[in-house]
Amino acid sequence: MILGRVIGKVVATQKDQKLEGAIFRLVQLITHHGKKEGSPVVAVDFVQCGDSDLVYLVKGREASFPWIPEEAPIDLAIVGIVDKMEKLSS
Amino acid sequence: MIYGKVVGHLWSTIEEKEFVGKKLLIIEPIDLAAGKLTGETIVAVDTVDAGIGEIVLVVYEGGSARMVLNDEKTSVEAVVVGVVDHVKVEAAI
Repeated sequence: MILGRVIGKVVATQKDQKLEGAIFRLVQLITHHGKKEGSPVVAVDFVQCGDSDLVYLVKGREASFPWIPEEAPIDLAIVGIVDKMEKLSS
Repeated sequence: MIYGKVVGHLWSTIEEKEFVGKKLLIIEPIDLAAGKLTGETIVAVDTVDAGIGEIVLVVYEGGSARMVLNDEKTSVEAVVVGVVDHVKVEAAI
């Protein structure tokens, strides 16, 4: 899984019918140091997160698994909201 | 497999059901050739009771992760599968 910060949402009324009901969030991927990783990306939200939440995401084929038994074209999914993070002091 | 260092823990209460009760670790991969941390972040499920500061082996691929967790439907794709005791390099790269 990877870390990201929710920065907004994306609304798409016209979409593949398998994505019916999906909530799209705009996420800036970050490292645990808080450094940005690339440009913001769009992920399907499975946990009803909100703006500025720190979340973890699943990438690839597994991203569509929370939607089982339906198979959906999802390659990035938000699967958890981070409450607390403890880091190695260095 | 990814060779990395456990650099932190994550706590989460709102999460997909297959993550409930699983320990989540923050792993920073190590560049073995340069001998330093890469600055990247992987969040992985712990199955071997690894602790902060330890060097671990991580499978970062869905098929293997499902095998380790024994769950065909899990969306977890990163699992810590070993704690490294030591590494011996016996030939030049």
